[in-house]
Amino acid sequence: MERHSESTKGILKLLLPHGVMLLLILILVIGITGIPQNYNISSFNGVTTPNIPFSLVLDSISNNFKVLLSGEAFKTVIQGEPALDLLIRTGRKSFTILFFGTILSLAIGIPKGIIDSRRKITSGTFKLLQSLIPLSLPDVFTIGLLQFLAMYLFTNSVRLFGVDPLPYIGDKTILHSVYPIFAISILPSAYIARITASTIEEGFGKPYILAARGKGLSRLQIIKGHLLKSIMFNILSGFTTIMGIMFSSLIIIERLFSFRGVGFYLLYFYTTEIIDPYEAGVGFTLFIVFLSVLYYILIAAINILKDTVIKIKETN
Amino acid sequence: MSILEIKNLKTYFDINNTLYPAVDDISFSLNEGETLAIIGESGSGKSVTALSIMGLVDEPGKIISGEIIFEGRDLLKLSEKEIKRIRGNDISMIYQDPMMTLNPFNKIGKQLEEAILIHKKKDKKSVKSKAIELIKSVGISDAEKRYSNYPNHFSGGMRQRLMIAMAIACDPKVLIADEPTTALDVTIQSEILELIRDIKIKNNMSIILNTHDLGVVAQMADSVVVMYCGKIMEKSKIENIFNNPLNPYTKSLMDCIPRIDKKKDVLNSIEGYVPHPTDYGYGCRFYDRCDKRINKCKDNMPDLVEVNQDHFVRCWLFS
Repeated sequence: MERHSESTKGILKLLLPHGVMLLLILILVIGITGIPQNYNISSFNGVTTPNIPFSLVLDSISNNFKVLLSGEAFKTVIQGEPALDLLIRTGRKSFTILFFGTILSLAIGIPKGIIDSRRKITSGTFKLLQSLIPLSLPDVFTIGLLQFLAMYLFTNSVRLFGVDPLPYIGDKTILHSVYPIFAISILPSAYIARITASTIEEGFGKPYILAARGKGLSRLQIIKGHLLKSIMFNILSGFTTIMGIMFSSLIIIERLFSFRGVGFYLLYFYTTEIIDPYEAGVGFTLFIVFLSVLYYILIAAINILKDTVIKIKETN
Repeated sequence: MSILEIKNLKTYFDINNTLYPAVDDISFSLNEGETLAIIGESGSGKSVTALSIMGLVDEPGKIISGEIIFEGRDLLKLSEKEIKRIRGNDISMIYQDPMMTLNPFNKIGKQLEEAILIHKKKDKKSVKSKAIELIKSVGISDAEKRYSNYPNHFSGGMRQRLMIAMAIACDPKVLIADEPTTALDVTIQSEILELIRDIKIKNNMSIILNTHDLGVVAQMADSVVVMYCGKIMEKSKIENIFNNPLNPYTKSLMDCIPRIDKKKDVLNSIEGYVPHPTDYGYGCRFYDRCDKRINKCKDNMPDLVEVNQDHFVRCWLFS
């Protein structure tokens, strides 16, 4: 019991700085977006003069906080729909892509990493390039390439593995989310494959893996029984980077595939005159920041929990 | 009767397209129930020999030629699948460093069960009871509780006991012990050796014991192979090696043993270092350190010849 409360304390102690730091980021974003858009500081003869008095800027910032914290912002009607409903609806769509994209990235990345780790040492540079090339290409290029392929398959009615061509644009049916999910999983898959391969390569040099081989275990049995935990731990540690990639790709994917999630609306409001684009943009940016903050806290919590479990096992 | 026979085994390391010999044309045989000690300094090829027998030599190392005959079958001609059936089952190995050869993330019980699950195809319940029985058999008390512990819950000596338990899990016919006591305290060393000896008698195993500790050899071995720079310098029965060593290298090794009956201020050591494989010449590899060298030794490698019955020596003094 005492040990449990101690580990809870330890987790909280580690989690608190993360929470405070991310809360500060959120406050900073709300604060900055509260500065009036036309605020300017001009300089003449060495004298700097703001066009809006500082007290009014502070009022605007505090108003931004009030509007957001009171929930008033969520009641704004956009295209006949309250902002909160729109956020929930679009958030759900984006979450579907992010969630299934993550699953697909793991499903592709881990087996690919296992296969990559099997190749001979001489192909090491090639292996590294396989992961580095997709990571170094601009998101928009990779995603655009996939959409181009999807478009080609659809317009030419090409069937793959006996499956009819999937719709490449829109979000009417569940089938419409297939390509966006694929698109969002490309880069994370490459990243996960690299983590998996390097964990296996490193692992196979360890004496306990030699001992496991000496027992007669096959390569796959060794990976499953001795290395999978390390692979999962390393992927989990790299998930902050992976999710960073996914969040940035989300906006491009939703826009290119006309998939109306949070990212789509973010660009949509910026590029149309439906509502004040700045306010809409701020609203959606804040929402994405909020999602990221939540996500980072979640990942940090899992990582801290993982490290604490290892520590407890080591000390007991 | 021989259970394992090594014939002209060559294991080389391919570094930048140049082959360097780690094990160079060695031959010996292990009889049923026999303990054969392979002795030599670090870098003599003992561990590579053991790994070659196990089929665990990794790149850039590779077996160039030779035969490893186990129960009439050449292991080098078997497929990887067939080798896996033998590895850990009929031939198993105890490694040098027990602190590193147990997976720190897996429970001891699970690590003990692995080989049994693969080779014996038993149900989980009986595998667990076998694992607990193994923990008991190597002298670890409270086995049921210890089954669920992680390696860091055990001391070095206990971990080596567990490694032994792991190695004998499938009742192997041949056990290769690669410097099993090197990483342990002197007090623990004798316990481990005693355990290996007891298990050998109980299970009627044959043992290949790699060591550079001649005290261990004296306690355990029936016959001895002396290796230097990948070559066998001398091989014979234990009595011949200790009472009548012929090769200057073996003699130098024997001179390094501290004796109670001969008081000395400074312990003997062999001058110089084991040469790196890149520095091997055409002649005897012990040439630079040998106090009995003759001109012929420098550029000509002597053959391993039978000087007396079952006593083989590689030295120009006897060729």
